[in-house]
Amino acid sequence: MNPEQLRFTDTHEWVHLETTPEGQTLATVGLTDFAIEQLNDLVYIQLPEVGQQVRRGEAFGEVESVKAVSDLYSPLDGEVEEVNTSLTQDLDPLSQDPFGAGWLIKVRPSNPAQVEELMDYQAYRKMCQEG
Amino acid sequence: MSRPWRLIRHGPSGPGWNMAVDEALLHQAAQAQQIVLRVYQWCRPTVSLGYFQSSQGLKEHPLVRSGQVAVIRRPSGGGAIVHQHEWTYALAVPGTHPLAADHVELYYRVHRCWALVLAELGLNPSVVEEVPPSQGEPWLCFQRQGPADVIVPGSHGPVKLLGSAQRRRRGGVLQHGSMILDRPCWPDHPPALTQLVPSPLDPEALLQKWLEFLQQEFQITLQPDGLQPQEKQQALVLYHTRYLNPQWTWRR
Repeated sequence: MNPEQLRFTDTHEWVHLETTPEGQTLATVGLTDFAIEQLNDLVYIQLPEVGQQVRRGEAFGEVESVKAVSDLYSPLDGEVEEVNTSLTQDLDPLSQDPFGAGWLIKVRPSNPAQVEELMDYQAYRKMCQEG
Repeated sequence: MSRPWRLIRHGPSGPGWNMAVDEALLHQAAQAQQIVLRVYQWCRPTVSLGYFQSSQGLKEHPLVRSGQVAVIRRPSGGGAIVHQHEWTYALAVPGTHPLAADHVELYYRVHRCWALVLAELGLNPSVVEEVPPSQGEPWLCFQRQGPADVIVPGSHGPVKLLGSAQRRRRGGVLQHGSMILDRPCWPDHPPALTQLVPSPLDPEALLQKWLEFLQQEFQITLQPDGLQPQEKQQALVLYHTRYLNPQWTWRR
């Protein structure tokens, strides 16, 4: 996944929209490299079940690093279609390839236009640099 | 000088109430935009589990089965702590505050203040810098060693006296931790402060020293306060819905 083609939340989740061969919209959600670097030494993750409803701005999972448990926030409303369950056994893909193999969940969005309200790559990088 | 922090002192309370109040302060930190420091103790020996930690085998432990030691799950990460003879603190920082930004800086700054207290006792403390990531860490927090933990030299190697953990939400950060004053009633628990100093401790004097160092470190004043009505209300809800619920404590 090319980060420049993604949209970003201010809580460091990224989202990528695609159209499936069936013509439906699917959103892949992950955590940015900046967040991974800040979190440092991830040890646990909890992700939702397939079929669970997620809401924009609300927590859909949790991750622990350096004895800190942090919430993961959904960038949009929808239903969880797929979960990267392999991460619960091995968090290395999240650290090593956060924009690829380290994706977290795939969501069938109920309102894909919500993505337009998120930051683009330049705006997100600027936010990270400004702290 | 920055905006004052609220200082809430609570006497010994039950495990569920202690965790409920800490989490309520995290909720309120976002809205009130003021840092709150709570210092408290425990009315009975309690094992607190880290948020993700497994409780496997704990129910069958003789001290738990007999009811001598209570069990609770924290909202924060890290390993199990046996709370008995300690000063426990909770620091709730609004998410917009600069102190909330860095994941480990808050550990270091708060812990350095306790290290200064220990230095005055002649214990030669140090704050752990980097440690390599490890797999299969010990179950007890005080048998582990992580970044920013406060350790002192002991006769059988370094002894950890202070450890903290965090819960981070969009609205704020809750950091709570334990300064172990005396070894708790748990088999194989490492020694604590009392076992390392030749003369009896004055816990209140140690706490006051720490509060002084905190005010210097963060350039703030501490304003004694109590729980606000909305904080108490939020704590009551959390107490009844989460921390009294065995499904919360034994969920993993």
